[in-house]
Amino acid sequence: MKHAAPTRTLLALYTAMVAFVLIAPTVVVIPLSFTDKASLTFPPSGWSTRWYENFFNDPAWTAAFGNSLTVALIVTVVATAAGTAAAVGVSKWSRKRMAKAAQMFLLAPIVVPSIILAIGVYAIFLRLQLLGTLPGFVLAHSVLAVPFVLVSVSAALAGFDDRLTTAAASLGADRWTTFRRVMLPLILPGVVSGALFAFVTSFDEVVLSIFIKSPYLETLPVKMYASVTRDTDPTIAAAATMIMLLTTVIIAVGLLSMRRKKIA
Amino acid sequence: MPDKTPGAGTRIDVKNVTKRYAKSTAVDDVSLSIEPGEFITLLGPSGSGKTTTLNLIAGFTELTHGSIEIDGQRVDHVPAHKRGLGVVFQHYALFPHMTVAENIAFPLQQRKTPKAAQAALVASVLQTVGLAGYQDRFPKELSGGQQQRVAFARAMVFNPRALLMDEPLGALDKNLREKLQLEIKRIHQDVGRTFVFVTHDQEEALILSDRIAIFNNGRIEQVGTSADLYERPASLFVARFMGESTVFKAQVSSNGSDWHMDFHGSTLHGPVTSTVPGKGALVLRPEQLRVAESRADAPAGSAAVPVQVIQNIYLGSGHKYELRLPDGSTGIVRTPLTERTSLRPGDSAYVHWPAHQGVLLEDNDLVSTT
Ligand SMILES: Nc1ncnc2c1ncn2[C@@H]1O[C@H](COP(=O)(O)OP(=O)(O)OP(=O)(O)O)[C@@H](O)[C@H]1O
Ligand SMILES: [Mg+2]
Repeated sequence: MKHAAPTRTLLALYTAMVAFVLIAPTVVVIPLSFTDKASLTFPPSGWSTRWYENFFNDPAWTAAFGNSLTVALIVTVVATAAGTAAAVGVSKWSRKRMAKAAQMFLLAPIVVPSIILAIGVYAIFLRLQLLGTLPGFVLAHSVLAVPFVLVSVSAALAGFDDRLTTAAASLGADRWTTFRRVMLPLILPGVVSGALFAFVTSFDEVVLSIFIKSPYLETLPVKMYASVTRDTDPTIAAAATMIMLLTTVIIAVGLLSMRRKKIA
Repeated sequence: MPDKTPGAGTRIDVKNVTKRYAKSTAVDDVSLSIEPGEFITLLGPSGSGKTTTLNLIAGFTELTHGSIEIDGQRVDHVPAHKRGLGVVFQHYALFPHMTVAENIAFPLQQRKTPKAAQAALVASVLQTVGLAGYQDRFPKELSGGQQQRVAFARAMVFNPRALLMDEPLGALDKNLREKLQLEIKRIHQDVGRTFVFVTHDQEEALILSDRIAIFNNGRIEQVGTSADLYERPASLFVARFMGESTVFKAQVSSNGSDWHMDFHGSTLHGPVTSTVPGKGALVLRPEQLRVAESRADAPAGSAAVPVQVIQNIYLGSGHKYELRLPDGSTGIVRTPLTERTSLRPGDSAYVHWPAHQGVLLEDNDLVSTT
């Protein structure tokens, strides 16, 4: 649609305003992380990198960071495998009603308020003695991450010509070979973006993690939450800035690689 | 290349096969014996069960009843990837992320053919389909006809027991289709494999096939050579589906050696050769009929029926008449140039033929035109 010049200017102004309101609170964190004072006052009166030094020199912070990375990487693998398998399974289900129901069920973790999920997970993990364990974190985060994989792989499968599977069978390929050599390469963009979302979902997760952490195993967002409620130490601003950078880079890379695939 | 042992084909037996879906019966008690090295075509209108039959042979669809044997061995429960049949699809089904060479090597990799042998086979089959030099292209960089050649090469390269093709030329324009028909026929003659071909194009079936199976409504109406189907159709459906015909419908009576029918005042008769139907349909091909301006011009002893000329078309090689029969149906006559008439649209005339000619069939049309 073409607009007259004044309308266009107004539209641009309005867009800028909305963007500002949305992004400003996040961006404020960046200067805060470079403050020279031991408090979260904005704007900072002087500049330093001491909070970054503090982050990397404090074993509690680096351990939490390491835990988050470990959990997120394992979740990426687990959720991508499970979510892709679920998406393929649902797409092949000949009884469409059942398939739809199964898909809704798998997507539920996105819709159910995470606090409710957290209480349920807590009760079960208590019984199974999974609280504060690596498998516990991986399992809980995977439940949240699978739906994202399911959605993006399902979208990719919608564009997959299922007749290629029949062709592969006629050429002597069994189902697994057909998946590996024909289907997977063609739905790869969807799988990769699902994997990135899975990583980010786990890496940012707070609510569930607070419930299932232990003094021996906590992730970075949990540590940050604890730190902001106890001592308002700008180290959390440094941590937040790094999380933001990491997730932004991952999502941007994901989106860009998908765009390139589409154009090709 | 597939080995060129003549007659090295595979026999396929379809025995009383039925395929039912929730709301319909796609294939209804079909039996068909395909001889080794034969080129057989499944021909019939849309929805008659051709694709379903082919898919049952290929193993893409599970049958409801019956059995399928390849070289005498039951394969109904053998999965598609273990049947060793090559399949060419109407929609090509090339793998878009693989080059031409990779597509063609795919079935060889499944069979663990050594790398060096793979390369040699790919090169040789590309030569056969006239695409040498195209091995590094991706499917989307090829025309439709070239894609179909690659699909053909891919289905042939592993020397399959038989080659199944479902309207492989359906998406191509007429010229290309005719060219590829001749190539398919040549390749069939070269390799001597069993070919099963599906089409709804009668002319294509005539060009390619040793035998044709006519499908109608999930059943096979008749299997035979083109000449069988044209000259000795087993049903009115086959007669109409294979080429043009003129049909005279009336009640039939028989005295044991001859049958008679009274077609709107004209007596038609012929020798009894098989069961005489009650409601009969006498089928004559355009070349068997002649047109005369009066009853007296028809030779003595010939059968004749009064008609009205709808059109008299000059075709160069002869004349084609479209005639209105007394029952309102249309008749078609083709005569050589030597039998010129001055008949014009609207004129009254007689259509006639030697009395013993024509095929008497049962009139099983649901709505009769009489
Ligand atoms: N998967 C299916 N589910 C339900 N009905 C089906 C299915 N596949 C085919 N049919 C039905 O079976 C009948 C035969 O279909 P088939 O595809 O074999 O016809 P065809 O002879 O190949 O026709 P065409 O020339 O249009 O390809 C049709 O009435 C069709 O609607
Ligand atoms: Mg079909």
